[in-house]
Amino acid sequence: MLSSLSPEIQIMLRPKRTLLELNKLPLEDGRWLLWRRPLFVLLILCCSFSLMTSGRLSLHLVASTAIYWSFLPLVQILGLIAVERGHLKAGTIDRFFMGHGPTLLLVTAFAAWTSSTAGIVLSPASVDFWALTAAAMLLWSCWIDYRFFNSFRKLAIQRAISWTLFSVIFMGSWLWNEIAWRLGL
Amino acid sequence: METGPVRLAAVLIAIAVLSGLVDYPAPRQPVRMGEYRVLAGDFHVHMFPLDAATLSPWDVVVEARRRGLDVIALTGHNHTWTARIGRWFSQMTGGPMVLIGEEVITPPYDMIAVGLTRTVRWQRSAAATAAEIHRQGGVAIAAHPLRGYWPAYDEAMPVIDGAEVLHPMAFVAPEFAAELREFYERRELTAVGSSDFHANAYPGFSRTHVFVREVTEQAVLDALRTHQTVTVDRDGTAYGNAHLIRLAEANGGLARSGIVENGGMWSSLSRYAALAGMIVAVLFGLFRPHRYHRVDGRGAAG
Repeated sequence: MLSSLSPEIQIMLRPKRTLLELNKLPLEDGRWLLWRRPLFVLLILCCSFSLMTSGRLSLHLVASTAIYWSFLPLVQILGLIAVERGHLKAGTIDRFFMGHGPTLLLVTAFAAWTSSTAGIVLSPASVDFWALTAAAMLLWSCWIDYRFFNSFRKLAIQRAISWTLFSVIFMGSWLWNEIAWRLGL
Repeated sequence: METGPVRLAAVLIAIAVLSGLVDYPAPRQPVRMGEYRVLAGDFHVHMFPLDAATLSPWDVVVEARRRGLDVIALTGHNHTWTARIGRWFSQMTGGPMVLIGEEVITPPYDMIAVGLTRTVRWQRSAAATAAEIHRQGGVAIAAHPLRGYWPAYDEAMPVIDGAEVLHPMAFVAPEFAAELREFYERRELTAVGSSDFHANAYPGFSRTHVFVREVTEQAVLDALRTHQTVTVDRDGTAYGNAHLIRLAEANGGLARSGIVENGGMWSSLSRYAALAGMIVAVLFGLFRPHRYHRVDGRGAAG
């Protein structure tokens, strides 16, 4: 049954084994591999945004948000470039983004909840629930990517770059406010 | 590509897109009550980037128009540059009135500034921040003034103009609603209902009805300053100017805050079809590595 599931799900459930299987195959190449899985992640993310905002799928919202939210896969690719020291292949990007299963399921589930009548406003209890779920998914994705890199150092570099850039762009105002307040700036 | 899941996901997404078009609301007609034009407003709306929000200034403007808002304040966290972009876009496309705003965020308090000409520095007390907002001709509104913020607002109470008595927090727990009401009732303040939109609780989910004699930015700011607003809770309780509340009741009432308006049957179909398509795509995949078909302990099959 597992074999009929996507590589994203197979990697989620058995990261070490699935990645070993994939590594036995020759690394694919081709320009399309640079973009197909990052675009897929972007598609799921932007469909989620449309559902969260308007409770339906709006072509305008999906297309428009995809333009500026392309920063998210781009910062992850920047992290990969730093790890690979500039020698990044399209097939490596494609395989890296196979590890986004936890993220994709999380955003889909969150969109399903917040587009419902009950979930449109988050209570403190549901904020706690989703924060814990997101933390668990982040840890799971770190585990998957650790298996991908087989190196804690490489994982740390990729995360340091991508998470820092993401945090600054997404919520830099609040972050700066907190840092400056605590430092008395 | 795996053709089965791709086709299924594509069909579901197409159904979702098409059915999402059906329930598109008709343009909002101007509302008049007595000598007033009644504008539906939301004075606390965030944008991407920097605000931990999902939509850009232009997408927020489009969504605000879709939600029937006549006037919005775009309020970046301690900045105004994204609000200027949204205002420019709205003016170019004939969208709702956009006021340059800011949510001045500090650990002890948050304050909404509406009608600014430049960014207000956040490293001040609430009273000093309100004074700076007034120097610019703007309006100072206490943002979601829950109990934890009250000490910072003690000094500023005589100088702030309004308070968010209806904020999404009011619909989450009765104790939060009570805290917002208690703050609002400390003295005569302009009643404000705001969405505090970041990702969900769409623009206009909670809204302020502004009574003006002419549809201009100055008229809106004057109305906010002189308590010419009403905001209505989901149970019909109205907050704001007593005379205007009576006027509204005599003229068919006003839209309530906190009531989810995500369309009818077609919007529901769009939502379910979209979620199903996304789940199919994630579970069964749109792409497989070349010649990778099985994970069954025997390695990849050709």
